[in-house]
Amino acid sequence: MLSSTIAKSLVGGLAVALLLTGCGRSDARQAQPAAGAPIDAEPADGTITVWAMGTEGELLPKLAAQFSQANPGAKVQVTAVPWQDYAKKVQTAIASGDAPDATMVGAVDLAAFASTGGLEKVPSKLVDYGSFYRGAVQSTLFEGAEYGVPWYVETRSLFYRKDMAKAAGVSAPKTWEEYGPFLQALQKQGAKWGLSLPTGATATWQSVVPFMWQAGAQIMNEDGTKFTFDTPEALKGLEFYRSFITSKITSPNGPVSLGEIEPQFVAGSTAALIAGPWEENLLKSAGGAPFVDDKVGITPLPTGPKSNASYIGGGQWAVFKDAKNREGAWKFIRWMGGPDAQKAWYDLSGDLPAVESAWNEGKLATDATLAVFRTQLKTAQPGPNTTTWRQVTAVLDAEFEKVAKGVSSPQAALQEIQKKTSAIGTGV
Amino acid sequence: MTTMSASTGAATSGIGVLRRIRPARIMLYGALVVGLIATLAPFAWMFLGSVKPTGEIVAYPSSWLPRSPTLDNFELLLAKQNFGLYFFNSTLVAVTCVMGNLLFCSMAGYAFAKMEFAGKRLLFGLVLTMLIIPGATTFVPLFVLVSNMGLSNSYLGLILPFLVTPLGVFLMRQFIHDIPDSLVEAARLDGAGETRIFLRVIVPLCRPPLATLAILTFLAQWNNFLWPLVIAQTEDHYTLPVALALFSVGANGTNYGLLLAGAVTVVTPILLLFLFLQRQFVQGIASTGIK
Repeated sequence: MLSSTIAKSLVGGLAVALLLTGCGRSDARQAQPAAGAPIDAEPADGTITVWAMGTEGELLPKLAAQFSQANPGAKVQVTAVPWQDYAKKVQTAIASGDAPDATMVGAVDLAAFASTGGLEKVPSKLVDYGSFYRGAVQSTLFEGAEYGVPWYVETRSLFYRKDMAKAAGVSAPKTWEEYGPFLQALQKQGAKWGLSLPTGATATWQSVVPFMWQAGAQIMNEDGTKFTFDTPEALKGLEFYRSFITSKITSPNGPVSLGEIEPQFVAGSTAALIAGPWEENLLKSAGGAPFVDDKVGITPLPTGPKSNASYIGGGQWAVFKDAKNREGAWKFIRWMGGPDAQKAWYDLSGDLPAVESAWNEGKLATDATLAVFRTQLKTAQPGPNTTTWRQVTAVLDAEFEKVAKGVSSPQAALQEIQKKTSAIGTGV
Repeated sequence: MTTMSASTGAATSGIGVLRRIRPARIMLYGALVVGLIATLAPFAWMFLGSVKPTGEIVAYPSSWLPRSPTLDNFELLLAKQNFGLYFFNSTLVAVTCVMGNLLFCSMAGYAFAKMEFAGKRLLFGLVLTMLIIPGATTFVPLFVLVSNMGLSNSYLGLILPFLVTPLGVFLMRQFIHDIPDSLVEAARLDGAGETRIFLRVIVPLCRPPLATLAILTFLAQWNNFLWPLVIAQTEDHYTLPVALALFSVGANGTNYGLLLAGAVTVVTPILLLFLFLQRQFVQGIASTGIK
């Protein structure tokens, strides 16, 4: 218990502390040229320090060794950083200027980092942006300028129980019309639920917004000044999402944590799910390799009124303003964005190349599962790159949850979303 | 006859024990057992899970006992480069912080409790203020400060900010405050200097709060994730929690087997420490009023 002396000391202390810390905040955003200074074609030299996350960080030194062979004067020093809280690490690096030369950035985080003014714009003509998937390029843009170079991509397609589909005599759905009946046929084979969809867990939007895209919705206007969730197309997409739940194809209590759905898929109580390239390994560890070979089918997302657009994510590279070896860092990034290095990286890590031409030979060209993702990538797109997007996704997840649980109608939810996201704004 | 009375005596006392146990006691023990199970179950799950293959950990329906026990997860963990180094780093940081806290917090606590000097209340108020301000708000400024001192990516950078903690100063001050002034005065009359009083009179009496402080500091540093993550610029300065996050938590999935094996490795030293110090720990918490 605090005695009164302590209470008094506390008040005094607080007052002094407030005086000492003072107040003052400088605007972090600074004016920048349209693009970084160009980079020459000479080999790189000097030490290049880079951060890369998770498995990518553990494997990158092997790729960097190949770079050093072509650039004997350069040495790449890789620090593997955990995905968990990596954004905090990048932000403190920017705030203190105590940063490496370059860092890998998750596609969704670029806008937040770029907006602090701590990243350099990509030098003009460093890479040919036309060689990457369009969706990957979109996620490198912030306020009309490129801040990152795409490295690898991931997108989501439909995984389903091939054995159940065979027993039911149905083939993978191609359109929205075939979607529901296909899943119901799988349910008749004993699956409690036809399709697993998130119903309010973090990042539910990554599964729901694509339905809107498929219906033809644009959730932000052309010049990026306003969110546009109040369109008939967005409504159609959200109604389609809800139809899975009302027709009891999808559980209103969807998965909330990673790794939750795989065992149910293996047990056959859930017949389909939407996931990315990593899913194959998760299913292998949950059900074994024979299960994946014999019972798992994969197909591009069924096409809606407009398209079969999926969500695109992945990793890209950015260079810090405080980089000590700026030239070397950009040269390393330029090299990693080339088709040969992209293919070499796929061989090392299994990450899908962001450069389209890297898919033209080897397993990338022949594998059936990869072919599905390749098709899906053509139309896949990222969420809008605004600094406010994280706030917006919190609103989306909450409202989509209300729709999933039947608390709110799609119309009411979209009205609420439009109202709240207009208040949040796009940060412009 | 004597045997008879002895046996009846034993019988009645037996009934007496039963009677005394029956009403409230059974409820109490029942509640305690429930609490015990709730406390131990996660640990049991962790230990059992660490020897299951990954498929079995996420299997549905799940089971407690491993069907095919394996040490694969531990092998995978130990095969990771530098695992020994991360263990060393964690130990070095935690042990140094514990020693720093024991020494400096008890000295500061003694000064605040038993000495008179100008600005004492104000200074102590500042210490309390630091307790109240959430660490998250001072995180970035602290990093900038340490980085400007040239200490990022060094052991000193990992240790220095936590060498003295306001909680430790407060804890020690409260305990020492309750030691009778007459003890200190008697020592002064006998001609002992402050150093001697501190070492010979105060410290020996402070074993319970010192043990508490040791455990709290060790726990905080052993589990610390964010600071080591940010301050270590190369992997050779990573501590166990950072390395563990790196190995097991991916962008789109978690390797639960590896994570559980890592958790076992991280938690075991703490459990041992607690077993050694638990008597002092409980006493320390009870007598300083910190819960």
